[in-house]
Amino acid sequence: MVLSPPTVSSSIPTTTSPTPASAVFRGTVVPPNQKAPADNVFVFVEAGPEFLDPNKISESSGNQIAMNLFEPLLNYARGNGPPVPGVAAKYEVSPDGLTYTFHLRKNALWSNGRTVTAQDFVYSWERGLRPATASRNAQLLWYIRGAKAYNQGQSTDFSTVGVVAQDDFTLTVELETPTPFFPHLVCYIAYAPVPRETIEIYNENWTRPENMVVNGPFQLTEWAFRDRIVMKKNDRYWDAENVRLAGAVALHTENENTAFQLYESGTVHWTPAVVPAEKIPILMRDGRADFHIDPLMCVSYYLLRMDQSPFDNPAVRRAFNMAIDKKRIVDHVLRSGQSPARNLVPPMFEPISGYVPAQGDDYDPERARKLLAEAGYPNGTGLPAIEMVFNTFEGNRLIGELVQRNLKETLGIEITLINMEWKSLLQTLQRGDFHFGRGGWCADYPDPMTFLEVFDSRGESNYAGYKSAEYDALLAQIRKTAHVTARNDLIQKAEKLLNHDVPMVPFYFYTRSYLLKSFVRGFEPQYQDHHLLKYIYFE
Amino acid sequence: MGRFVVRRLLSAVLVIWVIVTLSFFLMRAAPGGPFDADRRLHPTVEANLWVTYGMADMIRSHKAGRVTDVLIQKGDTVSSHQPILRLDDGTTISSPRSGECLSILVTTQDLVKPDQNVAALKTPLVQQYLTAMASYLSLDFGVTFSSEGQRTVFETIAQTAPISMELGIYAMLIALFLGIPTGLVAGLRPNSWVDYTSMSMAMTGVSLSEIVLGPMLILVFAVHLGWFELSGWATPSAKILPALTLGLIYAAYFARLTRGGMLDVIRQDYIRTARAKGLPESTIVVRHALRGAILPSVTFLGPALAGTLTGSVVVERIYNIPGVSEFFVSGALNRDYPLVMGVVVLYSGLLVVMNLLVDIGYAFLDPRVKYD
Repeated sequence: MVLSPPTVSSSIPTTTSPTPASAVFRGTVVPPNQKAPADNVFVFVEAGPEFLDPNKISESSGNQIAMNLFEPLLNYARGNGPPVPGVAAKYEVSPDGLTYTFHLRKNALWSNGRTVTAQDFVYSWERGLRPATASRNAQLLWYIRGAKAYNQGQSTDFSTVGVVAQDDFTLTVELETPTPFFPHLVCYIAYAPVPRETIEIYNENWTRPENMVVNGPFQLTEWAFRDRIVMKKNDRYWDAENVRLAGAVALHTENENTAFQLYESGTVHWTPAVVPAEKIPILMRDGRADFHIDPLMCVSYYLLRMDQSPFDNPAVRRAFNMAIDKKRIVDHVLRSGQSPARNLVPPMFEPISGYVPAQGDDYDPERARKLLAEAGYPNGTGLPAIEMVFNTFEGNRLIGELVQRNLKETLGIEITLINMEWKSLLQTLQRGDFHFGRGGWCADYPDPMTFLEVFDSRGESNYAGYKSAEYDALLAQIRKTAHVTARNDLIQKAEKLLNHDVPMVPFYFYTRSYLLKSFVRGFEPQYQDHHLLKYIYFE
Repeated sequence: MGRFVVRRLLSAVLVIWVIVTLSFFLMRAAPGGPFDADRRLHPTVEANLWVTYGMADMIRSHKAGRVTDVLIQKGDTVSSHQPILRLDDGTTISSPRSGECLSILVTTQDLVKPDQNVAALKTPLVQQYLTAMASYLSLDFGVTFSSEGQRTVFETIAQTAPISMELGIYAMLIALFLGIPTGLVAGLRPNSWVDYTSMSMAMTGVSLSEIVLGPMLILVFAVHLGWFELSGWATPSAKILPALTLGLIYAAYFARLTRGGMLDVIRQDYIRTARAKGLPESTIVVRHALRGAILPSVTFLGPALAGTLTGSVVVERIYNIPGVSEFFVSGALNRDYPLVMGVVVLYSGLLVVMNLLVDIGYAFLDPRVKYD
């Protein structure tokens, strides 16, 4: 195929969908070369997953493909609405919030023609939790009663896990604690069913196109390793009449400039997450209607190691937090619609669960200087050398330099910037061998708890070494509380405590920048970047 | 000649063994582990991974009881028979061997049953090494971590290396057919306009590198003129620009080497003798000078072939080619031990074989070289 150079045309009739309320940026100028392909095949770029086993997937590129091949009990909604029916047509929750009963539809089929049954889910979840599967995702199933012990190998009898197929079409799930976000968890690929008979024949080769049996809206037809993944509509899917794409192609590239060129030439219709940073201000200036910025349920922060001087002193931590101008980071370095953060939990929970985040200290150099002086370090004198560690990446260095200058101006402190290769940074953080280190979190499920649990005293990613009995007690209380308002109050209390103790300096809330052809419909901003191809169509 | 080849092959085996051994230990000495991730895995989940890939095993309790004390911590190095748990009947559960404790799966007050996993111990490095060497000998490099064990190293390389080799062959053909004649012409007419023009171009080629040349060619020939595809390796038209990018750079090297070789040879006594005998200039160049002039290029051909056949990280990235070179980088960054070992053996093997071929080639080109 030879690509024709982009033609300049002035009269392409287009209709733009109304800008969604949650979007950060939408332009109005529709560029040329925006004609829907006649074959109805949606083409996008992806980082090229190396495996597609739902029980094992933990990275986003595999998820983006597999979520269209395997359908769990419930599905992510288009946009940010509550989950919608998937294999389960409906479900009930017991009043104590501990038992979920899912009623499976009888017309859900595997692509080999067999009916999807409750036993398929029991098999899949057992496989995901089996220690020998060594799934990195297993932890997401630990909300189920007994799942953790089974995964740890303490119990080898799966009947101790709270999952029972009452009959072919009824599945009951018992949870450890009331988990109001369980319906959201159930949408995740780790909860999808897998075809037992296929796995037992082909073992680890069962996800190759020639062997794979699926139950989702699309099926795999070609998988050229590190080149492309081709899917076509699955006619046996129960809701096939509402699937409007004939197929989809995921082209492998990790090079954002290549992705950009492929998009501009018309080969690709969507470039999730790979718009070159230097192109973003230009696309915004041009007011391009096909350039989107949406908020993400993610926060960026820098951890303060709390068991080492000087950050063992709470006043120093608060002073640091107040001395850093996050708005400057967002406006001068990032420049793609991120919002400066004053707390841990991103701001979009109010319409979802009514939770209003507790705001921490604002930028206040005057008070920061006072606090630092009170802590015994007037104008920063007497402070030990402080190092800021981050992984090698141009954006991180620019942010680091800005913070470095900022702290010099506000507190008179000279910090050292240290960039590290990614795994080295992870090891440094895990060992707690740092002062001020890059961190961040993206939601596993749309609930503030996914962020708060990071700072649990026993949390695996609690690299700051935050240990607060009061905070842990609040978390335990939140886990037990099913009532929404009471729960929100507790969450806010926990966040206030974090704002007071400052185990990390919140920097900003992430956004997602992407290019999406103007003829693509059914695609809405989604805080966790879950976009099911099932909803997409061309117009 | 036969004895020479056998001797060289034997030393090649030794060289590869040294490389493999060094890589094995260096890789494991690098900071961070293969299963470290953005969001840290729970110790249990991480231990399951270590065990699955044969780099750790579980300590099991041999009896029932309630745990009253956990006597070691995660990360501790325990010795053989060191007690790790105390039970309520006063007895202890000990480690069967020495090693680093990856995780402890029980806490105080837990009930343990016979045969239950209580902790995970890393397999000692030397033992890992011996097991690994045994399977490498049968050419089994195991499964890659990045595919969560769903692809073997062999398959991963077998699917990508042919693409890199194809690119390498095209590039080498371009390099030889362009570089050597240019160098010969320049060497025969030193300090002429032909020499200056071609050597300036070669110098530019050597200094440009793929990282500049690649995007330039894309911009001109793919984006503006639209003659070729932007990326990929699916169609013949997609293969032209990457082959040119890599080939032109090597052509520049060969041109400079050949020119130098020709300048050297043309001043030799035996060429003067040939001229004195009144041989025509064309016979002198083709029959006598040429073989000597390309010797430096032949020397360079060994490493150049090994380098191009395993792909160029830069060219494959720029043109988005699904070749093997990516694994040299991603394997190391992800601490994907089996994959790194696979590509290290591939590269060192090719390097050794190519150098051997070059040495054999010498015997044919240079009458002074004899292997006995």
